Amino acid sequence: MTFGREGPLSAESEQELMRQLVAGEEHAIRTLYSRFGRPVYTVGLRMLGSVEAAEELTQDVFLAAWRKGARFDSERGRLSTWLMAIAHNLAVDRLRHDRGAGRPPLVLVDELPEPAPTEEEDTLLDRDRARRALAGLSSAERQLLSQAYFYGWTAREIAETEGIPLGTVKTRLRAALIKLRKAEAESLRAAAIAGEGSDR
Amino acid sequence: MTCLEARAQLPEHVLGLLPPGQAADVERHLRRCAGCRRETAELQEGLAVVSLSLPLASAAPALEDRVVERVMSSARSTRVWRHPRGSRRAVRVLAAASLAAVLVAVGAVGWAVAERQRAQDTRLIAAQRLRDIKGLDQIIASFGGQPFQALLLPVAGTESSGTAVIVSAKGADSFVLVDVLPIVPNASPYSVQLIDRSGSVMTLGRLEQSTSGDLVLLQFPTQDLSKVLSVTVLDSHSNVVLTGKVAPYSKG
Repeated sequence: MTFGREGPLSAESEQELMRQLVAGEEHAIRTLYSRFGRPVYTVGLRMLGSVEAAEELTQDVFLAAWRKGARFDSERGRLSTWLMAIAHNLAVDRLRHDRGAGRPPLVLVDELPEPAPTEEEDTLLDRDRARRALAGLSSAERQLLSQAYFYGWTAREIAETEGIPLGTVKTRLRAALIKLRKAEAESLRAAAIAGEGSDR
Repeated sequence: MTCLEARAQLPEHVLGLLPPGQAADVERHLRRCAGCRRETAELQEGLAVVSLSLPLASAAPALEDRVVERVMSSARSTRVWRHPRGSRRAVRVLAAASLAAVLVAVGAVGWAVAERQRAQDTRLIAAQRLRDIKGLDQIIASFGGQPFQALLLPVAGTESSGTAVIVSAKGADSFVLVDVLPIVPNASPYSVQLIDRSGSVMTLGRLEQSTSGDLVLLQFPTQDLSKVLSVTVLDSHSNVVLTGKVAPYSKG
């Protein structure tokens, strides 16, 4: 089975792609990179702040994907979700390692992008849909998620900084992630219904 | 860890913010709790929305080749074991490492956090999962020799489980691979013993913590492993904490 570098993949195709990746097949590595290389690199650049670190992270993420590929189960989730979780977690590890036990400087900007038209067509990752999902978060949820996502602050660190109870921070982080997931799922459902309509 | 305790930590776990010890505790819970795994998957989907919403940066075109080369060179190094050249021992280490990765990957050791009454179910589930492992048969077959396996179940009062794979082959090609979940309560260091049909006890080395948090042992005994009946894990006081009967490796 071969894969295009664009367009959605079925769960079966994602599983097969990962099987080929684990086998070290070059076209599978290139396919995976063509689909997810830029988003992974982007996460690295935004979180680690330098081209060098982002490139290193990107290599580490694809190597980790190859190493952990046998764990990927398309029945449990999409490949993009799995891969971006690896990317983010590796970036957080590096961020926390680089800064040691200290907390990073407090730069409270709204890191999460506002909904805006995308400049390029990208049906695979559908950033526009993701941004619409982000728009559904409250400002408090966006701020907490920014602190945790981009700075790698723990719930306790956020609680101390913000002067709010630890339990509240954990609840808001969960609520924000679940809200994003639901909005994304609803968008997908709506897109699927619209697709069915246009097929008729 | 209860579901309530685990769920309180899942958002931070998904965000990669938990210290390694706590993350390992959560992972251990997830291996045996489908409900919390579902919750984790949902939180991960939310996290992916953030990652995929970022305006894309452009990477250097050469990065793709560097990524491909790095993955392929790693893949090539683990493929060495298919070729007869080079050190047989190194070849076996690499192959066993692949096998360990597969075992850990499917969590073959993750179901038997067994209260004793659940042990039978646990065996069935774990055996099923072993059969589910894609490519395991191929890896096992690549060793040559005679493969055996044992599901390691905890004695009362211990929480853990594990898998042992034994390949009995001529010369220095035999090996024993044991992979065990972190054992609770902790009484490390842990050692592994093999007992054969004649009652002889072969003491292997200590289980060492792997990067995944599991306890792993890989050894190449020169003794005959074809008659091993059981595998036992002992704690620092020589108490048995895990044990399992050896059976021929059954193809999936």
